[in-house]
Amino acid sequence: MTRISWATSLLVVLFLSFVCFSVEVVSADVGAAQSSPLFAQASSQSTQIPAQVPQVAMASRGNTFNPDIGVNGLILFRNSNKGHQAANENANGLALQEAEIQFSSDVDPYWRFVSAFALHQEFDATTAPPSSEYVFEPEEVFAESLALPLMTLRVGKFKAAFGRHNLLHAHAFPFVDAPLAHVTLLGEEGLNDVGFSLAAFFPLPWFSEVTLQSLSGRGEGLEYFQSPSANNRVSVIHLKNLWDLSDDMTLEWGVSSANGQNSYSKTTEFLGSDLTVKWRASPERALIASMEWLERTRPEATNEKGMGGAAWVQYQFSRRWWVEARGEYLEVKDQDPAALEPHSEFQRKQSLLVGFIPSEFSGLRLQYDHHTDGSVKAEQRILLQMNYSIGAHAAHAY
Amino acid sequence: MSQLTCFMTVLFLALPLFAKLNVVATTSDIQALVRAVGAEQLNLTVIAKGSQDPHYIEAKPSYMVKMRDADLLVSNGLSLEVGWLPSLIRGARNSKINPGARGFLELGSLIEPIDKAAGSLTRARGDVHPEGNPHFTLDPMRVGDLAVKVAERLAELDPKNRALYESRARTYRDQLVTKTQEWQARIQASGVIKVITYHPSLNYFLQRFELIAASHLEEKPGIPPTAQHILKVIDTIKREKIKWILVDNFFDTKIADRVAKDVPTSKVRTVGVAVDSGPGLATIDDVIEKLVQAVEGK
Repeated sequence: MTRISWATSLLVVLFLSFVCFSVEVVSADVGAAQSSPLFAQASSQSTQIPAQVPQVAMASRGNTFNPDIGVNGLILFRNSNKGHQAANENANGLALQEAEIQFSSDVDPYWRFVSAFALHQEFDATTAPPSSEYVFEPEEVFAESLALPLMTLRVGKFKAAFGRHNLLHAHAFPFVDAPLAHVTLLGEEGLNDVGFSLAAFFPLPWFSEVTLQSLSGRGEGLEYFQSPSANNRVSVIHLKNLWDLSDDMTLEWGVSSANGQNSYSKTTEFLGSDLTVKWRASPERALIASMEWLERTRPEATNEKGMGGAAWVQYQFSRRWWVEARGEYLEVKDQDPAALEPHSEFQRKQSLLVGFIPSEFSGLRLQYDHHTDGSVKAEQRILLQMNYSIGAHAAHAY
Repeated sequence: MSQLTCFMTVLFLALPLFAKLNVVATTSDIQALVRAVGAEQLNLTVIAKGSQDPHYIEAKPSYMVKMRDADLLVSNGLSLEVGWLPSLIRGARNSKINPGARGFLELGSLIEPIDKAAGSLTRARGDVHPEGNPHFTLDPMRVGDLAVKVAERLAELDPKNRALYESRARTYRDQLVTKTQEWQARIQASGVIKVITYHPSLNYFLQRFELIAASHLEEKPGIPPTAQHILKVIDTIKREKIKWILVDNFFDTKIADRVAKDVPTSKVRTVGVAVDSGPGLATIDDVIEKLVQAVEGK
């Protein structure tokens, strides 16, 4: 008998409940509409209107039903004491960090569709001299339910609900770059894959949400999964709680786990936790203190264990100005069964940032980094990022 | 089946008959308007408090919890909440309050707005609202008409209290008509015709009472004023002999104070532009009364 995974079973159950609920919503809508005076008027007119009129009327609405379109551009100037080599992603100078184009719209009363594509430079150090080219890739492309009660079903390619930072797009990062632990352990693009997701509230008086996700584990940059078996999927669980400490202050705490089979048919596991305290007294004053920690156990040819975290503070002292500070730590131990001692690598990084944000749609941020990674000389670098958004731009998550 | 079981079953089935409608209002003004119509028949909660600038509310997940169980969401519309309400509605996962559903009532779509953006729309013009000025709750006549619309929707969702909602709405509208005539007479008696405001949020109030905003301290809505623009405002105040610079409660008075220092004949008044934005501002009538007093110089 063929073994059916829990993810497949859950997907089938969700599909059936979605169909049932959609039918129920349609019936309720029709019932509600029939009882309204507006419907009564429309009904009396409907006999005089030819059947093709609705299509003609829709076509004449022009751009009314076009999706919301937004474009974001990140332009980055970098100067590092280690950035003098030939072209690579850390080379000094001015570069297009990323351009992102987003489309989003409700499809019908039951679904919303979101797509975000990113244009960025990819480098190939294996050629002589090193070469680069621009690539245009789907960052997130998913459909999300609108009509399911108390839960949201998502299907497509999306950023996995692992911690807080992994969910952010580059233009919404608190600093110019992602934390070391995220880049090293989750990958340059983070944990982002094709699958489905179900998020639901716990019936509690505060915000308490659980998200269950099942991913293919075959996405770009997910070398730590890539199971040889097509039936093995990656499971992600995220629990998020948020409490209002006062009208102006909130405390958010989350725990996350992700696991899936790797190319050695062993299980790669991630664990993470995040904590954020946010205080906003007015549009001119805010303070955010955040920390995020994660660890990865990756048994392959060697038993690798990596763990790291970042803690940062962001302070807004006037309508347009922010100052920020961040400290980071990362340790990766690689235990070869044939070796007596594990091989360990430590990295530490400190960052300071000043941000000038003239409006919701543009920003200028200057960041200084001091990064030690075991090499003789620490890296010191200055980053100047210009951030521009045009068109429709959805609000960022709290 | 025992008598107790029968009693408990009947009580359980009858519970919805005693349940109050859960209503969420996006701003304190809308909360006050809905309260005037629904009173104790509703469980009424609010998102943006009167002391907060409703353009810049953060979409806190705790607001989603408030909206999770709502039967009705009453919003301002005209893009006032565009930065935060859509994500709250999605996060609440309550299809009863999705746009287009009966549990979603956008008041801005029920009025004739002023200040509709003309010409080519670009964000170089600042924080423009393409559909018109969203601060219509400062016009008592529009508020009175909206009370009737709110009553209609409450009656649809809670038919057993229809008569109560409709009668309260009519009474409230009539009271506002009478008060508007009194306020109009007082403003005419004050002799004030032109004022300076910080942001176009007072435009409905000014239009209703035939006052003119000679200039705004913000050159473009939502964008902090430039020094060059402030010099122009100072010239306007001197030329037009304007007495009052009215600053909304959620803006800093620093710039207005500097202007008043340069033109000693002008005076700065911080005015509450929303319900609960200050002491004694529990209703929309209170807010209008204080604005009228500010124009009178009381």
